[in-house]
Amino acid sequence: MWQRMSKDRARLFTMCLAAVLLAFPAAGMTSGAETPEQPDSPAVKICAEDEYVGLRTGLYSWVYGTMVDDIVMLYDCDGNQAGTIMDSYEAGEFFSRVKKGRICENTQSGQAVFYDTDSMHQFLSLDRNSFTWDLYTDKLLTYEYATAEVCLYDRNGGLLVKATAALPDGSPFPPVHPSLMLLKGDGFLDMRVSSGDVSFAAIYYPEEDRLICSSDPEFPDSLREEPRAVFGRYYVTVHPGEEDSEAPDRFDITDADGNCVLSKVSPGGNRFLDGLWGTAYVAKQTGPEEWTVFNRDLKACGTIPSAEIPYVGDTAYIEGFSYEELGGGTCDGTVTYLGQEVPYTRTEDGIGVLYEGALIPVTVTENLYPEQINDRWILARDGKTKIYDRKTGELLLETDAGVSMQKDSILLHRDFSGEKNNENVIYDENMQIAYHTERWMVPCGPEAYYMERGPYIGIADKYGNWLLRVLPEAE
Amino acid sequence: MMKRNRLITGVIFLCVLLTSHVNAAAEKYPNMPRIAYEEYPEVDGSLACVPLMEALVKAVTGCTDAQAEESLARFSNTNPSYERLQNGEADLILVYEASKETKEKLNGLEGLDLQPVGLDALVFITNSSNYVENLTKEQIHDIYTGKIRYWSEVGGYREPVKAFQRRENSGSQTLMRLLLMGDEEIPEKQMTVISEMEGLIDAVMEYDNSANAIGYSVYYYASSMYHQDRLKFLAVDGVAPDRETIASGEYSLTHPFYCGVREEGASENARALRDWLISEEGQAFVKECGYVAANE
Repeated sequence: MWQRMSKDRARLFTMCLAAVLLAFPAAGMTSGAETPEQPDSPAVKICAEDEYVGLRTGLYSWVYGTMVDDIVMLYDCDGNQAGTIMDSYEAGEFFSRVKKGRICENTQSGQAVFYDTDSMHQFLSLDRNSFTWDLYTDKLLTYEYATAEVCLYDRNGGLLVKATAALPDGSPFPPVHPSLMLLKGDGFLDMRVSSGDVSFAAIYYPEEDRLICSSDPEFPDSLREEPRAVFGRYYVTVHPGEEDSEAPDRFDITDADGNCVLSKVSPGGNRFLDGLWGTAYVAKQTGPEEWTVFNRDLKACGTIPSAEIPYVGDTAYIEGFSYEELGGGTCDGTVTYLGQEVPYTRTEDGIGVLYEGALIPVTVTENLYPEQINDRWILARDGKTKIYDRKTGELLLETDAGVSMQKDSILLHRDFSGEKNNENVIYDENMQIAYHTERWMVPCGPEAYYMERGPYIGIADKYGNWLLRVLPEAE
Repeated sequence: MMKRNRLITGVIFLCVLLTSHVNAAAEKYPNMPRIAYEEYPEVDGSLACVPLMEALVKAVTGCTDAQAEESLARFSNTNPSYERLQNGEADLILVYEASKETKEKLNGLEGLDLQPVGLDALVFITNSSNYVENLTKEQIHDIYTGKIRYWSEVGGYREPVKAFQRRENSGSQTLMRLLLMGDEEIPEKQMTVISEMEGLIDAVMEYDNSANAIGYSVYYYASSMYHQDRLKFLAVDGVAPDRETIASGEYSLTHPFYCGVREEGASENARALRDWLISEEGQAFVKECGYVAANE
């Protein structure tokens, strides 16, 4: 080419080329913050707009600002700051997802204003210093010190039912804080408090719209002891001989007439201990290495090799047992789908994963045990961690690093715990490296990542572009 | 001849098109130092100066946003950064005033060459529902010494004042002492909070999260970092803090912030950056970044 060009043209070309090169300052590239050339990233929302109804367009997370240590800065789903609130909510992590509403703001006029933080809806305003309260799922329970009045509100602040918590002599119950547990399914609400030697219970029956508050609750006289839990419409008492045990293993299921209908059952795992009134299954040993699982109607659901009952939501998917939801197939285990445990069954083509009522087909090779899936990939391990294309079953990635699957990206993580910096690599939907860093990074929601860079922490997309960032300390 | 002229014109047009994307800062600030990213000095300083330092490294090196942030990874805040500059761990700092303790520890900031590059203000913040709009310096002083205990004493509701303070190591705490409190003790407040799981507990807290709270920070940080729909700045002695009143001195609780290098052993690049920042061009850059420049 040079030979064919005239001397004049060559000289002119060289001058222009030099001018172009000199016009651009050298921009050095260093390790640690390199961001590979990336395609135009579509706008990534932290959450879907219709996922929340909030003060502005929608609220996802709150971050502690640090003018005072508890100024809560609220952001919408686009990462724009939506507002600030001084709150009395218990301190949480940065960028914790606002999920259960328990923000109570003390106003200057002496009111306690409750916000449901799922919607940031201000649903109730009460006189500040006269009560204590607890919120669980969508109910708010308050206990008025002066009058011993117990009120149950729905999430819109509507009063559902009221009762008086009084001692046998009619005096108000001592001012202690109730712990509140709300059952799923049957909807029992139990408020158990104790003050010194006095024990107190409140039970709410939503179907009957009845709230019983009493230091002598209405349990059948025929019960040997005060029940430890409610199981459907049955009571759970400790099996004889274990009454004095601090952690009894065996319980009896008793009907309202005090008749034992099922004895020596186990709650399975810690379901009893987590929420006494929340268990949905019990297991009874029926063989040397066989336990039969019963639901709240006392119907046998299947057998398991130990007392550990595998739960998926409120349903126990027991490996080896057939389920209509699995197309009549046998439950072969559970797999994590976008952070949720869901059951799967083996099919002719691979596996079928049950998610939101539908059976999702996934192609995998034989004898591969899946652990995580999303809409694109399946993660399985057989010594190494392997990522497969969900539709074709093609092996895309093999690694010994820790793996977290998001909706359209994968985070590979190695934590060297102080020996050297961490290694975090994000792969995009085309299995190309989207971002990598030696700093701290964990997944956030289905599409974003909590991370730090420089003095900032925040939420970023898979390419490391901030969706929102803050300085974590105050000046 | 015609063909040759068209060729030359076309090439020149191409060069102009390409070179029009030259660094915008280079055009606007022709005297700005040009430093390769790998040779950029080790920086440190006050957190309120992070945006300024971030803008500076991007403008001077042409680096990416991510690289600019990474260059600030070791920002250790006001008082530690003085120490790092003195011991050579940092080459250039952008800082607010050092605390009395830091000055004593560092032998009067011996060996450090500090020049003011901007002006900031100590501002007082309350919940927007607080009826009080203005306080005198004396009232603020009395609030923080416990002499004023209710908002009604300064024109608000009869509600207890919950005054909080910042950590001793922070720039705003230094300003609080320098401009208002001196060495006077600021008593910690004891309050009662209701915890959902534990009932009533007593806790000593340095802040309160109710509408009766009053706190303080520096203007640039508070005005740029926090959405103010529920918070507001109080006027002091009848003057509300904003850019104009801070620059003019009408708002009285102001103080410079500095750019510092070592007197001896400073790197050429660090000194060049500091000298540029205090120049007329550099001060325009400071102003463009949203700060009040020292020469305003």
